[in-house]
Amino acid sequence: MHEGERPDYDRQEEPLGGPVVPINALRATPAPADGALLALRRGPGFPILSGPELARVLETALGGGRPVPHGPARLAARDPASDLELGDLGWLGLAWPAAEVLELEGDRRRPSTLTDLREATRLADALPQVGVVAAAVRALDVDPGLRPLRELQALLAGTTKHVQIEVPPDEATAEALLEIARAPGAEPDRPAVSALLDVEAIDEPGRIRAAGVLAGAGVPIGLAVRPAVGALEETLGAALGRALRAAGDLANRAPGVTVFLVSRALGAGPDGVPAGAHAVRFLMAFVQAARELGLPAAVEALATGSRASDWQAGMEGGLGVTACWMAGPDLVLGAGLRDAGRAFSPVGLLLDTEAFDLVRPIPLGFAVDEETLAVEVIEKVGPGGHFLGEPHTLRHMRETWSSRFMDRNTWEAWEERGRPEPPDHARERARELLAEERPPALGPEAEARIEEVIAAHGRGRR
Amino acid sequence: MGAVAAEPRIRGLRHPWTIEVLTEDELERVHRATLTVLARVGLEVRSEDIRRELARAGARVDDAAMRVRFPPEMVEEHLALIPPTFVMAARDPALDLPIDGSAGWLSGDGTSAFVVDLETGRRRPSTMRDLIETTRVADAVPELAYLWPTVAPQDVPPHTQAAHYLHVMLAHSTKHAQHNEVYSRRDAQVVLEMARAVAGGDRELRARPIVSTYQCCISPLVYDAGPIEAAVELARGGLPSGFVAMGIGCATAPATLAGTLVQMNAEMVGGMTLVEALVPGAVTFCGPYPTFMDLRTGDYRQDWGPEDTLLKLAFAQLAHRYRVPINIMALDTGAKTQDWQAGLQHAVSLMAVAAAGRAEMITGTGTLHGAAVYDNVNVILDAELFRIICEICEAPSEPWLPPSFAREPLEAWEALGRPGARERARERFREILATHEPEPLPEDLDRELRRMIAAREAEG
Repeated sequence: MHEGERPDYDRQEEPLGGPVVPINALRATPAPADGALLALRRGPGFPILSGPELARVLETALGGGRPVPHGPARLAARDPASDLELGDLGWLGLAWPAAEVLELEGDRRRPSTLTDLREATRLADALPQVGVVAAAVRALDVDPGLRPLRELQALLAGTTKHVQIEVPPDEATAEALLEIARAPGAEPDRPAVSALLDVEAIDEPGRIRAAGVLAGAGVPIGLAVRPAVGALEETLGAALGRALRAAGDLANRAPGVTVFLVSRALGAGPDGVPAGAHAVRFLMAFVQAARELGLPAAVEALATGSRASDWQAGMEGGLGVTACWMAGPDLVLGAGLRDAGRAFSPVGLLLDTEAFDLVRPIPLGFAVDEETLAVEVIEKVGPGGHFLGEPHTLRHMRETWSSRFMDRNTWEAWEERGRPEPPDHARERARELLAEERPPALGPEAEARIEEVIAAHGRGRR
Repeated sequence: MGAVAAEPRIRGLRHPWTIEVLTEDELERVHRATLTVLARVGLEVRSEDIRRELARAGARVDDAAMRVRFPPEMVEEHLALIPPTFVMAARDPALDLPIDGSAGWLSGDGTSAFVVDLETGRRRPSTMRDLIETTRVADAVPELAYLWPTVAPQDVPPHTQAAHYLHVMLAHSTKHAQHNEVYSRRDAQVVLEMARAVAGGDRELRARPIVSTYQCCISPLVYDAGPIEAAVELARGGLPSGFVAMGIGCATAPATLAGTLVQMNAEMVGGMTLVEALVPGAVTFCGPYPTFMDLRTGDYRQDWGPEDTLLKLAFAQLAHRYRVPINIMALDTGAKTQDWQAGLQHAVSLMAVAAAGRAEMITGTGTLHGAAVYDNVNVILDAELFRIICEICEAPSEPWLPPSFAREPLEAWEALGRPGARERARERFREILATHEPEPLPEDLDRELRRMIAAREAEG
């Protein structure tokens, strides 16, 4: 945990309300201005676990002296303007690829293809809220042996933002992925890729060797836990313990490896069911513990259990982003995932950026000074008056948050227009974004080099 | 297997944490600015009787301008008289709600002139039947701890509405009734008469107020004659008598959050000072319901989000500073149906209330489109959300999944026509309506209340 970040867990407010979380303190240090990407200011942390509970979790996780590795200071991007500085800010991203896609037109659900991945990547690149671009879907129409390579190719061709991949099952594929990642001419000390390692797979010899190859090349490794529903302290302590053990294995193979901690949503995954309050509590406690360990935390906060972008998806997304503005992870993952991570929805991706946007201003609080307190304006307007004609209103009226996809029609106009809901507005915007001309993210030389690597990898497998 | 725990009749939200959005210095600045507004600008109080009484109590009154200005020391002195805790009693004593910070209690929302028809899904004017049905469902759902008049029935004479609301709440539920639609001294007298009849007399009602009330300021800074006279009459009758402010940023309140905070705080603190000056020690509370104007349409902003959360947290801090109970509006949405927007706004808003440190009363579920339209399906869905958030705060051992979430395999779900949470909640509402029978009022008491309504109707 960084200096000055720790909330005062022990300060007891009387007689109500338990520990105090002073987000007001954030205003003493202004947030970095928004750049090419839009981030969430990380708050002071949130004491979902009490001091003694947190201590027990860390004791289990550290297992009597397990060393804590270093976290990366940033996740770099090919375009330096899209670098993700870690510490003060939280960044939105996609997460694990879904095997099915909900089509943009009509929401038909079907197995996903390389074309779907390309479209999702273009959308993610166009949305300034998305900082981490991972494969939204699996390219199931591609030879499984070449799939990780084709997927990385599609990501690099579609975005210059930070790209996140999964650690492959063998060294040769890891070597090929590195070659592909280097093809656009990335600087060696600025790997524009990070990789997620499922810590349940660290006993697979090929997988841990592959992670070692990537880590040795300076690729930050996200140690991903897949918690099961259970008692929070025990589940979290054990999950973090597995992650730190994996970090130890990796450090033996690649000294100097940098890692961050990643949690899938509780109940997400192939057989998962949404886990309600337990999922939110786990997410917040995971971030709290990671911050205490001094490691960056990534959480899959947006993988709703709903199969559509409906009330449930909005509600679960709302709980997820609220848990994030309160707890302060470094990466907020899972944008666009539906059905507990089994399906990806382009419409859902846009909506999830809006959910992220909605909470971004909250940790910044609001200004309290003579101008904003507006006593003179209140006096001038007086009882029964209005503020519509006041210069003060003109000066400040654009400061409130504006939605992109929520319906702003009157009731009558809404009915006349066929009762559009936010997914309808998001779908229109997705169409516009996909129709926009965008410069290719890879030049012809890099494309040719990538094709060479993929061809060589294919020959090597035969 | 262990015994299955019985479903509780009501469920409250603990507040295990306090998120502070204002520094102590900022909190004091807001308070001082509030005192300045009340001293320099004051309130327009449109009742000559109340102004006369306030002048005697130490306020500076300008009768020609209907203006009442409150010296800072008068405000501080009377804020200190407000009881920090009270009980919102219920017809069934097991459902009494301690208003002491131990929990936040959710109510229904209101009071909409329109309702979404359960069968057609279309908006239409609301009726007495809607009022009764929504009240019966509120009685059944444990997450709703107390009642509001949900809809404004268009099929009864307006001057009888206050009496009808109370009759429906008392006859179709045994939960506490918070009456927000008492607009005149005469209405207040009728409400008190009805409440005394059900409570068993004046002394019994004072000891266990089964009804509470509040009045709304007309922003900026105006209290109309009828409502403010009703507030004082109700407080004299022993009912909790609170004050709500509903400033609309950019229109009836400043465009800045701090300015809206100051003005609405002045409106509520002014109301509470007024009632304490005339009825010392009266039970009162505040209720901030801020919104912003959409300057492109002239409507409420339908997409409120971060400002709403920040103001909730700030108002909770102010209430804590004053040690005054607070009724915070959560579950507000600009959405026109139970869509992604409604789910998102409700979750963000209610989670903020959970972490606000205090919010003894949480208003309220049921409405859409900025409370303009009531839809019963909301109640079912919001109750599920409320329970999830209660569990986030309380760390239960067993996971609970809302009944409105899809559980069947994908293929089965597709075959059913892809029902969403909205469709499942609609079925659940129908089921409750078909099966739940609230404890009725004794027949003679019900006849007595109907006689009081008829007498009010005859007054014209």
